[in-house]
This record gives sequence, structure tokens and C-alpha cells, in this order.
Amino acid sequence: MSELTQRTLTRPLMRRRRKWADRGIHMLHLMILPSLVATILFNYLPLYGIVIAFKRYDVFTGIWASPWAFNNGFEHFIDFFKAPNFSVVLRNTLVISALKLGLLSLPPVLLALMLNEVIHRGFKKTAQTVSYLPHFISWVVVGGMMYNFLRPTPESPFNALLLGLGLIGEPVDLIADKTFFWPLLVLSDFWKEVGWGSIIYLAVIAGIDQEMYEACEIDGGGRWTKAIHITWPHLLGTFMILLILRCSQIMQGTGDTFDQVFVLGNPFNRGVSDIFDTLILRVGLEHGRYSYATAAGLFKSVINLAILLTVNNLSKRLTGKGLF
Amino acid sequence: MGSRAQHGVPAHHRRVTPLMYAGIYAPLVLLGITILYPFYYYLINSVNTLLYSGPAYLLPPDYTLRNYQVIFGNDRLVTAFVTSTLRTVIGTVFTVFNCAMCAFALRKPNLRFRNWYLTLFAIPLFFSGGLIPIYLNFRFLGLLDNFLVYILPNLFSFFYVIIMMTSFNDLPDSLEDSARIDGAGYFRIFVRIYFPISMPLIAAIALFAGVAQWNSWFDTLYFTRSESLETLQAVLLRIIKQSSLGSFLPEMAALQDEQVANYLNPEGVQFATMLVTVIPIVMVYPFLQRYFIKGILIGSIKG
Repeated sequence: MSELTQRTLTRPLMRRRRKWADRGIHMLHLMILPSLVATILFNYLPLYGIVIAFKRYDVFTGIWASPWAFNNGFEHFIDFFKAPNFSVVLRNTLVISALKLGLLSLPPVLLALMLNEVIHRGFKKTAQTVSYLPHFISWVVVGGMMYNFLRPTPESPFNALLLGLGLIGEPVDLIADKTFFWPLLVLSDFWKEVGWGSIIYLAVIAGIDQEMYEACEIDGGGRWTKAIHITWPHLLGTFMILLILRCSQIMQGTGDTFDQVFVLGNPFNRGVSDIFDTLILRVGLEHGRYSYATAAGLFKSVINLAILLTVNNLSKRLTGKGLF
Repeated sequence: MGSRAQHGVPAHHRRVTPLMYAGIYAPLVLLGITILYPFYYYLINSVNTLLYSGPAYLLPPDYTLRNYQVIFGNDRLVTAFVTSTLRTVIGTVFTVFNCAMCAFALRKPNLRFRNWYLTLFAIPLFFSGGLIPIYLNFRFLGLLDNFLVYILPNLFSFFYVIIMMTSFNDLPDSLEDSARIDGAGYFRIFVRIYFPISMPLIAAIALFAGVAQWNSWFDTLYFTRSESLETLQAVLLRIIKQSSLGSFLPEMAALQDEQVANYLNPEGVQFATMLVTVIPIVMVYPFLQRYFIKGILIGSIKG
């Protein structure tokens, strides 16, 4: 009896339920469709264009009909490696990446640890709001600010300050000076992104079990002991993942280096400011050497991918953490 | 009781030692000043009447709004402001809605082809065609010198989708089940329930997408030609790179003689332009701050 009622009750219900599910599934695929189309159009379709790296691409002939390049299609790669500015660009890109990786990975962690020690809530909130602000300002504006502050006139704030303190005898031009270009890149990147970089670590710190700190205190651990033995190990995983991600951008100078170099670069400092992306832009879009620039871009992409895979494997072996 | 309170709240967490002031509070204050001062410097000098005889560092000797009048009286800058606003509003609305919709659908663990979709979306994060193939692709699609080049390529971001996916997953299943028993389809459930209930998260993503649109300059410089598509960032970049306003503000050349009389200064106009570019962001972002911190937290745990 009860079995029968159950049957009669559940059967239509189940049938209806299946109908909903079917309708729903179609709708779900439909909801993904715009993203799918956008990804195919803007991320996968351009991959076909890579073929011109191996061709002598002519705008009027088209990608398909353009003849293959010499040296089994590697003509442009060979030209690129042999070009006098290849070594300059490679050096600049690698040095800028290395400087940023080395000097800018840890400051956000330190800032997060410092903010975590702040007792006054209002002070902490203000410090956070202020430190995140520059992240939302474009490099165009920040670069403009740097031009104005560092202008080689006695009135620019930077020169006025140094002249006032008696540290320099006459105004200096930091942006045109090759010695100071790389430090300027690192410092301005620090200024703009250190606060933003600290958010993720603050979030991880907020999730740490408070009992661990209490246990540490009972054992007589102070501020330093807790930061080094409890907080830092918790941050290590996030730190490694961000480091891997940044390593995978080594060939483009990590982060927003392109924007920075584009805004601050000029013919005077090109010897230290030119990186792969600015070279590709200049040679490709401004001089119209599409095949050559595509070859340079492909070289960059392949090296980046190789670095990502290597660093990811290395990190998994050493710390057990990786992206995939 | 006493001992419990001592363990619960670490004693030194309530005390500020001189060492803490020196090691933590002082560097933070210094960082804050170096961040805020440039904005302040721009503010006072964009209204500084006597800028031509040197900038003010702390307080301007006299105020004028002449520089702002020049900006808002200049057709090219006004057009750029309108274009920037249009691309930001339209781009943000479409991007956020599309990404939220995609995240809502991808969130279903038993969705067919789900892993295919995810792999397809993830691969471009690690390998791209490069600048020239992207440029040729835009030309092939007819997007060069077209307003849509600001909107369509930014329609989808896997980063936003991942954040929203994890956030949607935290909502209780009963929310969806009850709506489905009432006969609602998935799209209706998304529009009527999930989208409105996730407003804080949507606001955070909208901030990211909006700032990205507002600050974007590369596409304007290299994928458009028409003056009507010029954005504020692109105009500003040209002013900075050429460090002369003459070619961009034709009025400026004519006003040469008038400069001193009307307290007009090319640098002051530049300062004012930069402030106009920055102000919308500075006004909006502090209010959305608590939302994006939550968004990043979600992203960091799962990502």
C-alpha cells in the first residue's frame, strides 16, 4: 500500500523534475555561450596569425597566400637573434624582471605584517585605504606625476628638496639619466603596488587560527617569534603562487612594466628602457614589419610558458605548492 | 576568569611600545605621505594663480579655476571625457553581467562539458598570440577604429569568473531548489536571485572592470584613429609624452599673450587634466573597498 502510494506520488514528480533539469541545462550552456564566443574570437582566433612569424607576410597578399620565410621559415627568428638590439632588449627585460622579483616580492608581506600589528583600528583602515589608492591610478597619470616631480628645473619638487637640503649643487634629470632609470622603475612600482599586494596577505592572516598565537604566547613567544614561526609559514603558500605567476612574466618585465617603460621611455634612455614589448610595438605596428615582430612575440611567449612550467614544477618539489 | 582574559587577548596587543611607533607607525605614516602628497601637489597647483613663477609646495598664494574652465571649454578634452565615460559604463555593465552569468552556469559541478569549458578558458591565461596577431585579428573582425574594440574584447575575464564562481558556490542550494520547484528556469534564477543577492561582490568586480576601462590607453592609441574615439588617458599620454599642449589645445597658442594676464599656465592645465582623470576613481573606490577585500579573500582561498 505504502509502496504503491509512493510510486504514484514520485513518478510524475520525477518526470517533471527531469524536464526542468533538461531545460535548465540548455539554458546553462546558452549562458556560457557569449563568453565562449568571445574567448574563441579574441583568444583562439589570433593564434592562427602566429603563422606569419614563419612567413614573409604581405598585407595585400594575406596570411594564407604569403610565401614562407627563408631558412625553413625561421628567417625572422634568426634576424631577430642577430639584431644588435636583441642583446640590449634581452638584458633590459631580464634585469628589470630580476630587480622587481628580488626587491618587490617581499615588501607587500612586510606591509601586511606591519598593518597586522597596528592596534588603532581607525589608523589601520586609513593606512589601508591610502596604500591601495595608487593601484587604481593609471601609469599614464603616475608617469606624468614622475615627469613633473623629477623635472630638471630647480622648481620641481624633487630638485627643490635636494637643493634645499644642500645635497646637490644643481638640478638633476633622473628620467633621462641611464643610471637611475631602473631604480626609478622599481621605486615607482613599489609606490603604486605595495599596498594592493598586501591585501591578499592580510586576508590570509585574518584566516589564521588565533589559538596558535595563544599557544605560542604560553610558550613565551613574543611578537617576532609569532610572526616568523606562525604567520610567515601561513603566508608561504600564497607567496609561492604569486612568485610563480610573476616568474611567468619574466620576458615582459613582470607586472605593468610595459606601461611604465612606455610612458617613461624616450630616445635618450632607450638603451636601458627598451624591452621586448616596446620593441615589438615599435617594429611591428609603427614600422609595419609584422612577420618580424610576430616572431619576436612568439619567442617571448614560448620562453614565458617554459619558465612557468619549470618554476611550477620546482615549487611543487620544494614547497609542495604549485599552480597546477 | 582573569587568566582566561589574559590568554584571550594578548597583553602586548593592547600596548603601543615606543619601538612599535618607530618600527611600524612611523613607516606607515611616511608611506601615506609619499602617496598622498603628489595628489595634493596637483590639487594646489592646478588652482595656483602664480604657477608660472614656480609651483607651490604647501599652499598656493592665490586661487583660480581658470585651468578647469579651459579644460571644460575644450572640445577635444570634453569629447575624450565623454568617450572615456561611455566605454567605462557600457564596458563595465556588459563585462560584469556576462561574467556573472558565465560563473553562475559554470558553478554547476555536474554540468556537461564543464571541464572542457574550464580548460578552454584557462589556456589563454598562459599563452597568447602576441600583439601583432591580435592586431591583425581585430582588423579581420572589423574592430579597428570602432567603439566596439573597447567593449567586446573585454567581455570575458576568467579571473572575474573564478571569483564569482566561488562566491556563488557559498550560497545555500536551497535558494535555487525552492525557485526551481516554483517553476523558475536557470536564467530567471540567476537574474532574480543570484545576481541581486551577490550585489557586494558584483560591486567589487564592477570596480575592477570599471577602473580597467577608465585607465585603458593602449587600445585607443593603437586600435583607433578617429578623434571621436579618443579617451582621456590617451589625450593625457600625448600631452605628457610631447610635454607641450600647443598641438592639443589650439586655444593655448592663441592665449600665449593672455597667459600672465589671466593666470593661465600650460602646466596648470596639464595638472587639472590629470586631476579630472583621477577624481572619478578617488571618489568611488573608498566606498567599494570593503567589497573588493572580500572578493580577493574568496579568490585567494580557492585560487
